[in-house]
Amino acid sequence: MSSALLKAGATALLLSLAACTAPAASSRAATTARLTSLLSVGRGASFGAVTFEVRFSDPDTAIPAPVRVATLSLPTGLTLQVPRLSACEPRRLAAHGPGRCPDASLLGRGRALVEGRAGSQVISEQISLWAFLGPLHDLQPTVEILARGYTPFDRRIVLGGLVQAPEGSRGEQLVLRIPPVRTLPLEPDASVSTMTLTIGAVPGRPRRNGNAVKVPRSCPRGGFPVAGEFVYADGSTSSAQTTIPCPR
Amino acid sequence: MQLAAALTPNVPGAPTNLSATLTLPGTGAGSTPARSLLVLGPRGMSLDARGLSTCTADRLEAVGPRGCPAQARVGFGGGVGEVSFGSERVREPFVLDFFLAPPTGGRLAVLALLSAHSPIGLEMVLKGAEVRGPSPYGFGLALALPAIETVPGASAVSIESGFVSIGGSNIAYYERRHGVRTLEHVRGLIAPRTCPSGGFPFETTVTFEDGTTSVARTSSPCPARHR
Repeated sequence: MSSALLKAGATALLLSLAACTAPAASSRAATTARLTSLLSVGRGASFGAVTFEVRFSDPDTAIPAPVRVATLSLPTGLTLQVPRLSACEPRRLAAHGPGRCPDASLLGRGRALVEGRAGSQVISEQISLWAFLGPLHDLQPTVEILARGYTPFDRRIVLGGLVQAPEGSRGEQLVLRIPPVRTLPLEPDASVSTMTLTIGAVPGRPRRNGNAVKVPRSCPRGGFPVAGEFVYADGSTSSAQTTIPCPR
Repeated sequence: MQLAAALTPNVPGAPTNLSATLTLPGTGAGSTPARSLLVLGPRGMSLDARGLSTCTADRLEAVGPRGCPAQARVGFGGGVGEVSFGSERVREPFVLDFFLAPPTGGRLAVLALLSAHSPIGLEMVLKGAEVRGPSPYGFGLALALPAIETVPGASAVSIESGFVSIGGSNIAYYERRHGVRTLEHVRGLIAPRTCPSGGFPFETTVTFEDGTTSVARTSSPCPARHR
């Protein structure tokens, strides 16, 4: 057995890809969202990472409507563990990039594909995402996400987010506010067509700062439910649900 | 005729984007088609073509925008035209894709692919060339507008309004230099180093099929500290 396989066996990486990716339950929206979620937990471990992947599409147009607010609801019991509170100021993040933020404030990484129209063509850009813990706002934790793209538009944008505490049967919610992504004057704002964000520490690649997602000991029948609600620039809304199968 | 133009950002000497909208007079029944368009920008404005590619009219006609290198694209635009069907005038939206062409006679050349789909489908390449305007103007572009016939006996397509967006301040691409992948920034359209009182001046002249011309002037504001 190769060392790579031995490592894989020792880590006992459990990747639970959500089997049921429910199509968006759209409410009067032309743009719909499809949500997929992935839980990465080492065997026997209680900490790991959760990955959200959202795909936006509009059957009538090549580009979906720009999303303005994305609310991702975590399952009850699945919480973010931050051993050492350290915040990254959004202004510092926007001005200097991820390198100047405290290491302890890094929560996760991701990628996005942004599309815009120019003349008769659709122009797309690969974006890298860094999620940092932001300063407290009204005693609520905040999340600052740096979106960085290089070509064709060399841009750096900071998305503000809020972590809402669990309430009733609902788990923690991550509410992201996405500002208009300007490209060129007279050109419509760019749209996010796919976004993948991993929060926490992936097994085998533990984060030095210890920030991770805590997985509850018990798993509800049918798996962990995850939901997303999205508000678009044209005022329409859509929602999507998915389930993360219980770790085996 | 009404012209509105803006430089974004309007920082002197910096890469910028020129956005302009034009509304032509005499729209409606019997409106006269335009034959040429001359746009003059402020003295000192320039186009830094380093890092840009070029595309030929033949390739653009044969393959369309995808046949041209991405680095040849310098802007886009669009507007609304008017088409005659008997006595009825119907509006037709169109889009424009601007590409840099190989220089002719030492001057920059530009190609604009005009595409429209409904009520009539048409695609044609318009050719433009760099011109130098008198003070207070400088860098300018002259664009020839060929007659666009619809059905036999009907008047040609006329333009009601149009907009263009040329250049950009943060356009970049990767290039491999000595085996190293490096990010190159396209400078493209450069704002003048100084902003005259009254702002950056712009002028457009439209020449119509019947030989008449119409002129419109406007200015783009100077940055706050230069006013």
